[in-house]
Amino acid sequence: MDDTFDIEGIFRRHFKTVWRLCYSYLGSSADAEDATQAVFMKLLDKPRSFESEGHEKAWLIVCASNWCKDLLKSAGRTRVSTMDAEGTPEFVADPTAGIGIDPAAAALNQNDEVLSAVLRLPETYKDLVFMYYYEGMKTDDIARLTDTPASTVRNRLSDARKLLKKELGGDRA
Amino acid sequence: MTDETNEPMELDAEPVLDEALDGAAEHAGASEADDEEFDALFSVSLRAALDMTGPSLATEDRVFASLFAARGVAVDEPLVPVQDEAAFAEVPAPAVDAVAAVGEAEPAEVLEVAQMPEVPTEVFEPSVVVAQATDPSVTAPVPIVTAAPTPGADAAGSVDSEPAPDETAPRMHVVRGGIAREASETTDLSDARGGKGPLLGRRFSRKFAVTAVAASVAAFALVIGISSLRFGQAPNQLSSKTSSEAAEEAVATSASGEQKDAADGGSSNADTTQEKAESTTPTAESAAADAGSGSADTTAEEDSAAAAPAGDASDDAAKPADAQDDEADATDADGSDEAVPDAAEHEPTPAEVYTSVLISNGGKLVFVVDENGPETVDPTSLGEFMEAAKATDGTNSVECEVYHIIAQSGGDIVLYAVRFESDGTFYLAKSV
Repeated sequence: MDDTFDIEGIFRRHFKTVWRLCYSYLGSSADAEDATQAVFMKLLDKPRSFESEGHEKAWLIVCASNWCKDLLKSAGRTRVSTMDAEGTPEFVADPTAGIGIDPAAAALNQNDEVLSAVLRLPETYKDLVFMYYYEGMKTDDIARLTDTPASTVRNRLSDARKLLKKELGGDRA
Repeated sequence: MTDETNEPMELDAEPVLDEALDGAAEHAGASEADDEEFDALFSVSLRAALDMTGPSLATEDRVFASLFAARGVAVDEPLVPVQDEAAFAEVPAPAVDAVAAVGEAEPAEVLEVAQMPEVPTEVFEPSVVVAQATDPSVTAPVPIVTAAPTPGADAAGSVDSEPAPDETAPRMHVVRGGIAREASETTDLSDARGGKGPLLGRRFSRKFAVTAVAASVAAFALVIGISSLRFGQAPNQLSSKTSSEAAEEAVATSASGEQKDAADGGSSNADTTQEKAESTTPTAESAAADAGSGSADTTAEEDSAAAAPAGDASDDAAKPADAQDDEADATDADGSDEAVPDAAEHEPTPAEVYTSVLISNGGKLVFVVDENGPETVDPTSLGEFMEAAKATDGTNSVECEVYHIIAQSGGDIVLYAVRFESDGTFYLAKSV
């Protein structure tokens, strides 16, 4: 990688990934946008060198994941509005009730059903599911990235799979 | 287990065990296959679902713009990686002993030096007090901008390289080159958006600027059109300047005016800043003026970018604000008179004077006229010479030559090229 800190290049390469990870945590486009901006601001405030694009992506995923977890844990995180700009109902996360989802949103279509299932997962599994299913990363890589034993990652993945199967009606994905 | 005679059946234990083992293995295998199938299907579904949620390219651009706007960092300005310890070593802590005469300010308020060496990015809280610091090694006082204490700054004014944990707080930013900017826009817009950052506000202000420029262009074009009608002349005969040129001029004028306003605004801010300083030095003045003109330039660039689609006035609009002031004044003073001398200079072409051509077969040709005047024909598309004819304006007539045109677009109307001896131009004509 070049020594010059190319924030624009990094942003363009990984914006979508970060945004989608944040969306899978927060369930709202506006919140995902804000969280994504915050993640890149963090990088902008504290420039760093990356060994590769993979390293960049890994750092951003972990950073975004942590940011979203902190956001969800914060006491003030109680969403009132459930409509986005287009009038589409958005998912509601309420820390007092764990990760709560507007049930009506889940029935919109198949895609929302899949997203609803992911959003209902406990936070422990969300980044794992994103990295494994969306990014297609191996469990060993996820273990290295999250600084977690590989066996723990595999166990969590197995648990997440069971929960997802249950959410999606057993054999549907 | 008994048979009909209630005698125990002879069971072959080995096949039963094998069956059980096979069953378990099959079950495990089936479970694994199930998981693999689920993984594959879920992976596809999740990708499709997340890809459909967005984000759009517009969202990406918006976040990108607001990201850099919020941080006050030029996009094309390379930053120094954190590993570059030398760059940080160059940064005095602070470069000048910034804790100096703070005047009436609260003791907790700290100062930072505006003129700093190469610094990647430092973050400060918005300032409310501007004062002046002195460096024992520097004779002249150094211009400074004060800031409220940040979580990462100690009482001596040094600032941690670590950013403050509260990322959403409004900030003041010092960028490379040492120009300090107050992120008041960020603060205001953040409030307007309910603490969600500057996205909406920036969009609104840009949209407002574009709308204002478009409205002034439309108004100017309308005035030109009305004045043309009043004089009973077609717009292309009134002036050598077409309406699009007039619109461009209007955009340039409008941009200049806005730029002037922006420059004035920047200057007034700078003045305010200087008034607040306890004693003002030339260095301080120039730094403050730079800060003011910097914001004016930014506004001008944005305005010119917005005005470019309406007419290429961006070159004029991009001129420095000072240079534009004079031009703007001149335009404001006598801009409405500029079109009159141009109209006097315009000479009608023969095709505008002699509007029809009589040909030998008794037919009549008229010139094809669009909004810019008579249409001309590229000599390369000329066909054979047809005949010499006379063009007439109803009372007078003049000699001309009629040519066929090679490429005809089809249809019932046949096109010709007509050349007058007086100017040698081939004008497009059609039979009527």
